Order: sequence, then C-alpha cells, then structure tokens
Amino acid sequence: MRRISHEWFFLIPITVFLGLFVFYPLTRVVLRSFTDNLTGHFTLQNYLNAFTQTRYLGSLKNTLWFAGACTLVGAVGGTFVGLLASRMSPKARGMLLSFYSLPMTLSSLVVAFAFIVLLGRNGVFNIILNRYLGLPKFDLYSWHGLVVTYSFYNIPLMTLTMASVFLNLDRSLIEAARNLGAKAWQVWIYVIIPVLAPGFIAGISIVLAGMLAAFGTALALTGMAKSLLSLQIYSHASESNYNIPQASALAVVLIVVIVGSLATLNWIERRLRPGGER
Amino acid sequence: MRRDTVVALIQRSLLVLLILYIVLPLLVPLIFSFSTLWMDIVPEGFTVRWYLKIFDRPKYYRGLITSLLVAFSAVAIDVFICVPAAYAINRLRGPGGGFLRAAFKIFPLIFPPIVVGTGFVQAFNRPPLAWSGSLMLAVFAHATLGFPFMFRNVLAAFQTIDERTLSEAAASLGANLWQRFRYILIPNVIPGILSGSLLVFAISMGEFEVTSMIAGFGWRTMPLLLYRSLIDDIRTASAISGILIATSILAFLGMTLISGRVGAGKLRAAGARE
Amino acid sequence: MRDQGARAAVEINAVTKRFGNVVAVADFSLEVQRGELVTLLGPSGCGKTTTLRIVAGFERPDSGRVFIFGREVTHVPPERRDVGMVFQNYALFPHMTVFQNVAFPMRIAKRPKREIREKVREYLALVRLEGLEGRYVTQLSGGQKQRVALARALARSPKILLLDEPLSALDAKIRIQLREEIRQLQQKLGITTLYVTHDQEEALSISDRIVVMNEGNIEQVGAPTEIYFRPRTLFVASFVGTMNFFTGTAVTTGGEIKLKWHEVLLSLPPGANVKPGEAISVGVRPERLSLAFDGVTIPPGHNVIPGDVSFVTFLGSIMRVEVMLADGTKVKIDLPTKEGVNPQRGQKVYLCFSPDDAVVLKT
Repeated sequence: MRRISHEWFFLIPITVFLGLFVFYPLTRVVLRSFTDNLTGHFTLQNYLNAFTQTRYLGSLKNTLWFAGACTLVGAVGGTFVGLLASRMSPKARGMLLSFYSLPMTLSSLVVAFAFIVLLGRNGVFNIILNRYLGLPKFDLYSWHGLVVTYSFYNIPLMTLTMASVFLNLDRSLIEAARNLGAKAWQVWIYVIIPVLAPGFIAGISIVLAGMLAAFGTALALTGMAKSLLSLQIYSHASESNYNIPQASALAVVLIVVIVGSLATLNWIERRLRPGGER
Repeated sequence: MRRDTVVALIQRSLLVLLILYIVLPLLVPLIFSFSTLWMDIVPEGFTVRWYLKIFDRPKYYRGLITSLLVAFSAVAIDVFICVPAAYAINRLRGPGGGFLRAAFKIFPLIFPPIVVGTGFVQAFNRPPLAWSGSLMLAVFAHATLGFPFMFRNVLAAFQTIDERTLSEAAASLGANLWQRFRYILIPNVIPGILSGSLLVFAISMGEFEVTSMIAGFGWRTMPLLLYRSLIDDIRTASAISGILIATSILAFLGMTLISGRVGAGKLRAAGARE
Repeated sequence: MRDQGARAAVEINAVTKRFGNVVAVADFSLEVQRGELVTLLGPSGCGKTTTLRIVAGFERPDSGRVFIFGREVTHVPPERRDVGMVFQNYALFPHMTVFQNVAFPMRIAKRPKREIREKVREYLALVRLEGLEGRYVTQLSGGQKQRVALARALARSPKILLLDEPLSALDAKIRIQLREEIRQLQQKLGITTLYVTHDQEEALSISDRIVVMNEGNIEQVGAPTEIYFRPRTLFVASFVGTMNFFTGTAVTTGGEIKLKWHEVLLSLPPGANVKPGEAISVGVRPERLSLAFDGVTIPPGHNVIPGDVSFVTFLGSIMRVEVMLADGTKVKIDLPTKEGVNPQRGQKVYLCFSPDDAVVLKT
C-alpha cells in the first residue's frame, strides 16, 4: 500500500482555481459558440459567419497581418538591442534591461496616452517633424501607428529574451568552430543560428501570441475603426452589439489561430535544433 | 581624437538612445501631468492641480482605492495558490512534472485577456456563481491574468535553492512539513514571492482589457477612469497615467532591489536576524 | 527475528525499491551493530544512496522493513526517526549563520535557549570550528561547510548517523584530512554510522565493515582487509583496488587441481574449492607480484609466467611495471623501488607469485 504523497494536496488550491476560472469559462465559451444568440438552440451559424461574413474575414486577415508586422518589428528590434546589450558592460546592461522590463506591466491605456502626446495629431514629435523639418506628420491612428505603438511592448520583450540568449551563447563554441577551420559565415550557419534558434523562437512565440490577441491600446487609439479579430470579439462581448455566441465562436477561432501559430513555430524550432528532426 | 574614445562615445550615446526609447514615452505623460499648459513643443508652468483633482473628487479617489483593493486581493489569491503549487510542481519527477511546468508557461499565451474576458462575461451570471458586475469577479479576473507571473517567479525560486535537499536536511533534523516551510523554505523563496507579488500588483493596477468587459455599475478602477478621460478630460488622463506609471516604476525598483539584495547576500543577512 | 532487530542498531530486512522499471535496491538485508561504521561502497547507480535514503526515510521501500534500535521505522517520516544525515552538497541553510544552522534541530525540538547555546558551542568545538558561529554559511570553504553539516547532524543527538558521499565535493587533501576526523569523531562518540561512498580507498580507510554493492545487490560484506585480500566475486576484486586476472579452466595434474592458463599451469592456493573443468579466474594484486630477470632467482613454489616489460612508471616509493604476456594480456606489478633496479621497456622478465597470494574466483 502506498501513501499518497503530500505534494498532491498542495495542488488542490490551484486546481480549484484553474477549474473555476479557466476551464469552466473556457468550456462555456466553446459551448456557447455553438448556440443561437436568440433561441439558444444548437447551430453552426456563428462559425459560418466567422468564415463567410466580410467583417469577420477581414478582421481575421487584419489580425494576421498586424500580428505578423508587429512580430517582425519586435524580432528585428529586439534582436538588435539584445545583441548590443550582451556586448555591454554588466552595469550598463543591467541598467538597460531594467528599463526594458518596464513596459511589461504598463497599462495599455497609459501607452496609448503617451503616444498620443508624442505622435498624435498635435503631438510633440509631429510638430517638430512638420514645422522644423518640413516633413509630413506621422499618422498615429493608422496601421503603421499601431505597429509603432505596440513595438513599445514588443521590442523590450524581445530584447529581454535575446539578451539572455546572446549571453548564454558560449563563446568557446565559436572559437572551437573557427579553430576547426570554419569561415565566418559557416560559423553563423552551423553554430550560432542553431544555438540561438530555440530562444529566438520562444521569444517571437510570446510576441506573436500576444499580438494576435492584443486590443487595449488599439481600442484606446482608434476605437473600433481598425477591424481586428480581438476587437470584434470585444464589441460582441461587451459593447452595443451584444452577441455572446458570436463572440465565443470568434474567440475559439482566435485560440485556434494562436495554437496553430505556436505549433508552427515549435515545428520550425525543432527542425533548426542541432540534432533535431530533419 | 583617439579611436577608442570615439568608440566609447558612440557606445555611450547608443545606450542613452536605447534608454530614451523607453523613458521618453513614460516621461511625456508625467511632464504633461505636472504642467499647466502644453500646446506646443515645450510645456509651460508647474502644477499639481490635476493630481489634487483625483484626490478631491470621490469618483477618482474611489477609483484609486478600488484599484488598490483589487490589486492587493489578486496578489493575495495568487500567493495562496502559487506558492503551494510551485512547491509541488518543482518536486514532481517524471513526465507529469515536465508537462505541468510547460503547460503553465504556454497557458497565458493561448488564454489571452480577450478570451478570459469573453469567458468571464458569460460564466458567472447565474447562481451559484452569480458574480456578474461584482468587484470580486474583477479580483478573480486579475488573479487569473496574474498567476502565471507569480507562478514563474516562485517556481524559479524553488528551483534555485535546491528545495528538495534543503527540505530533506531539515526533515532529518526533526522539522515537520510546517516547520520546514516556516523556517527553511519560505525564508529562502521570499524574494521570488515578493517579485511575483510586485509584478501581479503592477499588472492588476494597469489592467484595462478584461476589467472593462466585466465592469459593474457600482465600481470603477483607475484604468477604466483613464479610458473615459482619454476622450473628454486629457488633463485627468495625464494624472491617472502618472499614477500608473509611478506604480510600474516602483514595482520594478522593488524587484531590482530584491534581486540586488539576493545577489549581494544582504537579504539573507536581513532575513536571518529574526 | 524481532529479537535480532532489537539487538542491532540498524536492521534492514529484505528491502526492495524500484524506480519505474529500474530496480534500485533488490532484496537488501543488512544488520549494523551498535557503534559500528559500515560503508556502502559501489559505483554510481548501484543503489547505495537509495539504501541510505530508505534508512533516512526519504524513500519508501516497495517491500521489506527497516528497524532502528528494534523499532520499526519503515513508514515513519524522516523527522521522527532520530537519524542525523550529512549530504554530499552540504545542504546547509543559506539564510542562516553557522550558529543558527547547528542550533536548528534543537530549536525545532524547543530546547531552552541556554542549553542550545552551550550545545552549539560544544558541537562546533567537536568539529574544530570554534569562533565561526556568526559567519554565514556562504562565506565558508567546502571543508568548513561539511564540518558545520556534521555538527548540525550530531546536534540532534541522533541514534544513528548517515553520511551520503560527504567528501566527494571536496579537494583531495581536505578529503583525506576530514575522513580521518570523521572516523575519530565517530569512534569517540561511539555513534552507529552508515557511510556511502564510491571511493574504495575512502571505504577501506574509514570502515569497520564494508558492503560492496552492484546493481542493487550486495556483492560482499566484510572487514576492509577481508574485502581487499579475500574478494569473493570478480566484481569486488576488480572494483576494490587493482587486480590482475588470469582466466582459464581448472584441470587435475598429479592429484592436484591447477589452473590451465594458455600453456602455463598455475598452482592454486591451498583449500581452493574448485572442481576440474570449471572456468575460474585467479586474481593477484600488483604488490603481491614480483619480477625475476633471469630463471635463477625465482623463489621455490611460485607460479611463473614469462613476459616483456611494456611500460614503466616511477611513482617514488613504488615503481609500477606493466608486463605484456604472450597472449597480449597486460599485467600490472608494483615493485618497491631501489636505486639501480630499472626494468627497461622490452626487457624479458618472469612474473612470479606465491599461490598463497592469489584468490580464486568463479567466472
């Protein structure tokens, strides 16, 4: 007879919590996505709508483009800053990374407000651009504007990941490769990229998943003007055109899109991993 | 000029630029909130009027109190569920433990705020879970959004102290489970718990997305007030932003302080004086 | 059975422990007498640490029972076993000073403050760490840390002391010094001790008895000299110290049983229990072999095998000579050094050993 080890009792609070506030709501979302908003009967109409109505299809397309663009900017910017950070003195790096941790907890509305003051129609930068440099004003309320604003989250997030990835890159690996006769480009192809890939992909997974679902800053900046999947869900779940089943179906679609993206990235990562599946 | 002086200068200015990228957007609302007028490039006048307004009007200071209440409660719940869970999951050997650790890592990615909100809107509107519009539901929502951060920090703390060996040593010296927690484990993982708490607190204070979806009529948090004032009262918006930015900065100062003290071994000295 | 349990300080009775499909400890039985220091010796993964952890109470055996001074503790949690343990990586509490670490078990047991202070001082004196009470354990050297751990384990006045590879994280010099101190302390206190190590020299130097383990099983139990001179299995013979093996078949010649090794007939020690036709190995320690440089100086009655010197290492007090035999076997010989005696590489020599110095092992 084996005694149940005490560890399992410690999992009771989190199990109850997750059951009540994650699995139960999630189940409700999935179940409600198959019901009619008015009659409550079973229907596939909500999913049909999601893939036939132009407003939903358009929002899905927008979401994919927007998240892709944000991830690209975040990945490039974060890798660049991360590389720089890894080459700095520990003191300078510590300071930089402390600052770059700040956006993580910052309210999406505060960021929206900050960018309105900086880059809004009468924002400080726009006045400088327009009056002193004679350039056209930057339109914060465009797709570009949203990508720039969200980069304030994504570049720091990616920087934190990449800085530690670059720091963990064992220099002796590179030296060993050079010593074995590898040219600079071969060192990159065969040593550096495979070693960096897992961290890099983990980093962009977080950014991409976040951006596929992001809506707070966008809502504050452009209201419902820019059609994102998350904003469509938001409007059905909490605003005037209240339609919980439709919101639920779109939420399920969003989850599937996120899981699909993460699975794809994970698949790519396993292919890049040294000694991984070929 | 010598070559390495030039290099050093470039490095220095690059560092300043990179830091400005973060600092400028944070500084601007702060300057705005302390200026009487800012119509052009340079703000004019110094005032604390906009902040006074927040502490003057019931609508705003109630919002502040509500936000603090929700944040503290969410932190308390997350500590309560995450410390035991991190302890247990750190101990689980074999594939089960690995699976759970991975699951907690990707959980917030596939269950983002918009989905949490959509779930919360419809899951708690009939007995026995008729919590719609209640402040308690906001607390639970914030705890749900925050627990991965708490869990990650506490789990990392348990991993770095080699909890299993310390527990075994304490047990071999006669300490029961409670005494092991009280005298050995908690004093050693408290930096992780504190860091996680500050993180959850800061996230909760600024949370807008889910809160706006489940908000009731009886209460408003700071971000909800900020959302309203972004449209019609940019001055109040600046003061609320100032408070939220200060919260984030204080939270991170706290975390830096904690990790610095742990690194220098000072926390150990402080903790052991007890 | 119960009566025996009451007499022995530790009785491990037919204990088996599996991890998944791996049998870590298989049907293990052992009795440790009062005041004895018994070492569990074996390669990593042989089950020695698991056995120790079962006695400490950190692992529950799948079957079998454990008694400490006659009291069954098989299902008693570690904190109620009265067992002191010293860990390989010290396991000192990093947030406490040396004083607080050693005081911890007494604090848990709610002893009066004054008594705690006196006892801590006493135990720290015992491990020669007076004056370091206020230090944080992170500021100590490895050797000092392990002394603190030892003092802390003793501070509970445990009935038995368990040491799990206590020296393996330390430098060679400290290791030897500390193992002597541990032994002296153990004898002074007369505390029953179970000691786990993979280092055969450590086991030989410190133990009253050694339990050699392999793949979860006991290979041999005995005093250090017994283990060294009379190994009962090939595993023990090769794991403890260095051993040269001559493997072949037992044959009868002239009413006497000998080992036929290639074309050479080797005499067996008197009383060897071997039947003709059996496959056996004869083991000889390097220091029990001698070299003859011509056919004349061979002592009478010795076994003789010709070979060529293939490698010589001068080690100061001894010279290790490697001799290659006709079949390619390399044999190690330790010779006491003497100026002027220098075997040369390629030199023809005769290996000699007395049958009394050989051990016979079944293969």
